[in-house]
Amino acid sequence: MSTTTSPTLAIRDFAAAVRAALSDLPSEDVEELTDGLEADLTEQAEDLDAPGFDPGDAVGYADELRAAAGLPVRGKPRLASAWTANELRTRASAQRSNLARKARSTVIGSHTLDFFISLRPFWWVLRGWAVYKVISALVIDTSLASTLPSSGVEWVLLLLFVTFSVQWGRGRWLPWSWLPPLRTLVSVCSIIALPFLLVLATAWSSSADQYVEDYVPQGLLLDGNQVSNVFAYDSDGQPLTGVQLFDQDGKPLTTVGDPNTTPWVATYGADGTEVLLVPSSDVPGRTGWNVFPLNKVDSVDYNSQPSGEPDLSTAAPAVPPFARVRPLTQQTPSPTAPPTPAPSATPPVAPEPSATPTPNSNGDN
Amino acid sequence: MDTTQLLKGVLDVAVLAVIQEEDGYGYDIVRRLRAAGLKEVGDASVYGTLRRLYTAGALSTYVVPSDGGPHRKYYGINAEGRTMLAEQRASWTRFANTMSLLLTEQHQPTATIRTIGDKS
Repeated sequence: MSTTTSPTLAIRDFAAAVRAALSDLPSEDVEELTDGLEADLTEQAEDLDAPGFDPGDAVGYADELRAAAGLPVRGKPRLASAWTANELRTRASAQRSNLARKARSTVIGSHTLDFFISLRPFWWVLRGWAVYKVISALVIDTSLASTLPSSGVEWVLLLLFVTFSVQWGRGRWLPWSWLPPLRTLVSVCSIIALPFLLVLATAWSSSADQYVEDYVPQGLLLDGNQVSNVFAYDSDGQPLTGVQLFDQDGKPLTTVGDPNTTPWVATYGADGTEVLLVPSSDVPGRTGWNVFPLNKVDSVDYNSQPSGEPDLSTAAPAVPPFARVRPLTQQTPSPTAPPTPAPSATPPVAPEPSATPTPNSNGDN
Repeated sequence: MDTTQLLKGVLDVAVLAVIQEEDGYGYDIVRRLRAAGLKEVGDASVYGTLRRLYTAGALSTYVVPSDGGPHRKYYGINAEGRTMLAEQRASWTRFANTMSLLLTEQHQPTATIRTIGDKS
């Protein structure tokens, strides 16, 4: 007896196809007929010394086996009604094995098949995920528009289904004879549902991600809130006008997104009132969006201005939040301090200077 | 002539004869049949025949562990098999003699006719 190497995949596929073609016989007959088949074929391949050993047609081989063994011939043309699920399964299995064997007859086919076989665990996980998506959407009414669970219960469900799917893929946890057909059914349904599930799950979440990634808030923000206007006060606590601001790179510091595209900007106060801001009129071409405080214009009266264009001639300095703030020195602000710049056209309604919050009362800037 | 068809009728006795020489496992028997000149014997036919002879009680089996490969099922001939082989050998001998004689007889008249024709 010669020592044999382990059978190749082509031989294993062939042997599986032969067994499938004999599956109408009692299992002990099949076992007796095909016991050692892989070893015999491997030895034969070694004898022939042919790397691409082709055992031939599995169904024909099976017919020869059963004829020589004196066993009933298979597949007498039966009535259509006799086409049982068993018959279908047998034929599908034999067909699948024959296909695999044909694929193995070429190097590329063999490598491709190996590649897909190595992907099988990934498919098992994917199948588990697909079942999880469908079941969780049906039973606990979760959204299809997510790839991963969002709660503990969903995680448990997902792990459960993935575990079952992997075990089924490995041929485990199939104690009852109706489970393998169920596995096939689940697989077929998963294959059909997966494209839809994946599109639903990824399109929604990726568009949300994209929105988050692409959205860069325009203009100046403070803690995520839009800053529409800036009011500067000098060291004496007096409001300044015509303050030109630049960032660390020398770029004009503006509060609106793209100042060049807009002659005015509508902002809303904390109370929801609309405030229309325009750039400083001291800068030619209305490009002075970095000169603060920005001026404001009257709100649009849609009766007189059906176009919705504000009347820029009504531009007036915006009202500062405080008429004065605490001076940088710790001295009490002089009551006689002249409100020289007097940007406020209207009497300030802000609290008394002494009661104002002083963000930089330590004078550290 | 299609020797595959001829083989079908004599595969049993051929297999029994090979196993009587020495026990063997499936492919080993195929190999020995082919080495003996039955080049066209199909391996599936041999495996099927082995199984049928075993079921008929002509063969016994035992498993031999192997170091380098899988365990192999060996077939050996038993008393019933020997009886069967003896009967089939006798049948074959009678049959082969008859066939030989028949084919020879078919040849002779042709020769006679030709001889007569030559003479006339």
